Amino acid sequence: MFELIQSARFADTHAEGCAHVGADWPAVADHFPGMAVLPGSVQIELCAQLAGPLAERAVKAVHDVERWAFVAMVRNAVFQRPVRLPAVIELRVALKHVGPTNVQAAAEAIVDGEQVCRAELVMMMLEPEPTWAAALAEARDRVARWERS
Amino acid sequence: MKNFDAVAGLVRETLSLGTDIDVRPEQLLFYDLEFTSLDLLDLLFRVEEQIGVAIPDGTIYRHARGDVPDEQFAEKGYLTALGRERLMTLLADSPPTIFPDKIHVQALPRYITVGALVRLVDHLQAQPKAS
Repeated sequence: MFELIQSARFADTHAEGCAHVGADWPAVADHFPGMAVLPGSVQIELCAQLAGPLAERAVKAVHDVERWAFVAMVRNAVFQRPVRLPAVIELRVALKHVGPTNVQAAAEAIVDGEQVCRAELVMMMLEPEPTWAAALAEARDRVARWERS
Repeated sequence: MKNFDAVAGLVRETLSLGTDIDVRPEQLLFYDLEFTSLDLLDLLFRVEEQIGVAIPDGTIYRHARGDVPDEQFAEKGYLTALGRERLMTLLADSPPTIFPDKIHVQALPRYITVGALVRLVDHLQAQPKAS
């Protein structure tokens, strides 16, 4: 699920990332045969994968608390056109509000210089539980890989 | 309650309630209408977008606290006896029995009625906008 984003850069209030999705991505084998199209829900998911670490860093910086971001709400989502695969998708996320328990961000996905999706994401910020340690470590490694690429 | 009809409509939208279901001022969002914290967040987004009134985090806390110093209003994340009294005064239309002995400062919106939310919207709307 996290293999599609190849690289990401994070600043205090915004982030940019790049995802590559091949026409042979198994998840779209029947979406659609001979005409692979990236589902809108995956476009939102890619934006959320970028928004999560951005939100976590912002909550740490602003409220000095460790939280893990989960998508809570997707508002005003618009999909401008079908995204035919293969595609290189630029992802952009900008924070709008940083609270200790929720973060709002404006997100967009761009293909060939053209916006294909925009939405407002609301991330709920949860206090990590001890059983999440392995998942958190993996998430940190993943983001570090994105930032090195 | 100038904004009652508008807020009641947004409550209906938030919960996808039909127009045949009454939303009344005395109803408690979390108890009577079964709001979750995300429903409340969703409702506040709608209020901001459609009525133009932003209700940021901590608004009920600040309104209940008034000019009481923070340390007298809450201690270690819970309202003091004075804090509890001031919250119950602000939310006078909420049944006293719903307020627990210990009230966490982040739980204050749980005790709000539709009417109290409308009063807050009316009050904030009447404030001069910061330039």
